Amino acid sequence: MFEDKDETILARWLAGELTSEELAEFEQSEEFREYQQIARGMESFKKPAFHKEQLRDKVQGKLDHGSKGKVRYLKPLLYVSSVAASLLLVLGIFFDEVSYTTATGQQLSAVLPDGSQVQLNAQSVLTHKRFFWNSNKKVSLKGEAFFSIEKGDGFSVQTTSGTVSVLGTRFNIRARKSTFELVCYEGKVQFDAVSIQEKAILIEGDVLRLEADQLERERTDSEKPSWTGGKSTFNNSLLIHVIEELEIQYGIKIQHSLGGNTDHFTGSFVHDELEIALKSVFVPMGIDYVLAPDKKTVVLKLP
Amino acid sequence: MERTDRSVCNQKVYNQVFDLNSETLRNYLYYQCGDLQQAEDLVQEAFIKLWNNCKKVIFEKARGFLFAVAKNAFYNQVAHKKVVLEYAKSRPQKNLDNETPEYKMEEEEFMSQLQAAVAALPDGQREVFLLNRLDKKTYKEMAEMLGVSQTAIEKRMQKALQKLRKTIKNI
Repeated sequence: MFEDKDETILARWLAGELTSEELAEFEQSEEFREYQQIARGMESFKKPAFHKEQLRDKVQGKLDHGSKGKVRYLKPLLYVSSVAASLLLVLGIFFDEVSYTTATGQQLSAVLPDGSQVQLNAQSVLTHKRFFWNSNKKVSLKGEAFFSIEKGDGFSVQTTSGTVSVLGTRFNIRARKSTFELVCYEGKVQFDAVSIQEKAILIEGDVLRLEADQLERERTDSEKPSWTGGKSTFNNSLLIHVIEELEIQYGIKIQHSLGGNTDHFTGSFVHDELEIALKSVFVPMGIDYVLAPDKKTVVLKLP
Repeated sequence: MERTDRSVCNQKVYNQVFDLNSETLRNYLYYQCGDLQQAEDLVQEAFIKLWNNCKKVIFEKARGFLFAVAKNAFYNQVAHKKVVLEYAKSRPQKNLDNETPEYKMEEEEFMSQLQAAVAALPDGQREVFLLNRLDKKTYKEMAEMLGVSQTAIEKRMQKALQKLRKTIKNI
């Protein structure tokens, strides 16, 4: 039968979409007359009457107009960006930090918001909060710095070794990788060591050193740290700490095998003349050294 | 703003949606349930739902939304009457020579047979067949309204025609 050709061919016939060949073939078939009669018969049927306005009135009567209000379109991008901006502002106020950084061989003087003075030695970083700092005067230090603190409550310096709390005073903190040394030049400071959970109070002229998890005390009669005057002074310090300081001041690399060496050094070296500095440290110690031509590497020859 | 103009929550747009769809929707439901009152109640329900959800339904989707709601509402109602369409008792004839009393008799008989055959069609075939023949909806329009493919509509049309022919032959 013609209609078995495919599943939509009669639908296409009704819609007048058959090709002339298809139509000719269909007209030849015996069912054609019957289908045509049905299609013609359908034309006599009437759509049921429809009273649109009556129906509209019925629907309108049941609509809830009161609570609709006005449609407002969301502006998601605007909302997100304004929230982000306020967050940034708040985060900025609470977390923004001021930091002072010195490079190799460099020194820097800074005045903190309360008028206290800080002098930073080479390769050191001092940071504190930008806002609300006066209510909680914490600074954190990596490296070495000399503090002249104005009288006031609660100034403290955090280092990796521990916290130094002060009341109007002058003191130097040396918090390098392998050394921690605190010298109090005026007033009184307290040190809380992190690793050994010990407290120490220093008064004028006290030197406190943390070595191999032991607190060692000494005395000094100098007025301020020597590095502020362009040289580093050591009093019975481990030689490896002196080497570390040489590296920091001159940006050099000193190759040695002094891992467990316990030699101590007393003396000083200048910050502006590498060869003199090397001489003043290693000659008294009886150590031969070779300075590479690029002046960046020193090799120690141990006896 | 164009977006505001197209919101179904806007009374003007809502009326436009009503103008475009209410009759077709009513007839679609009537061709299914055979009860004008029931069909009109369902149309009202569908339009009320559209209004209540006007913020979620964009203008372009309003028709699909109406048909889906009406269809679901219809399936929830069990009552189902026979679809009895009215037809013009005397069809206009081009060839008046044919209008012998015998011919008229045959004609009357055929129309009542066709009427019964339409009523006997499965709902899915009848709604599509009548929307096309009486409401002059194209296959494409119906496919969009009912959310099915055009081929599915065409298959239903063909099935309806075949079923009508068979039913009439067997009477």
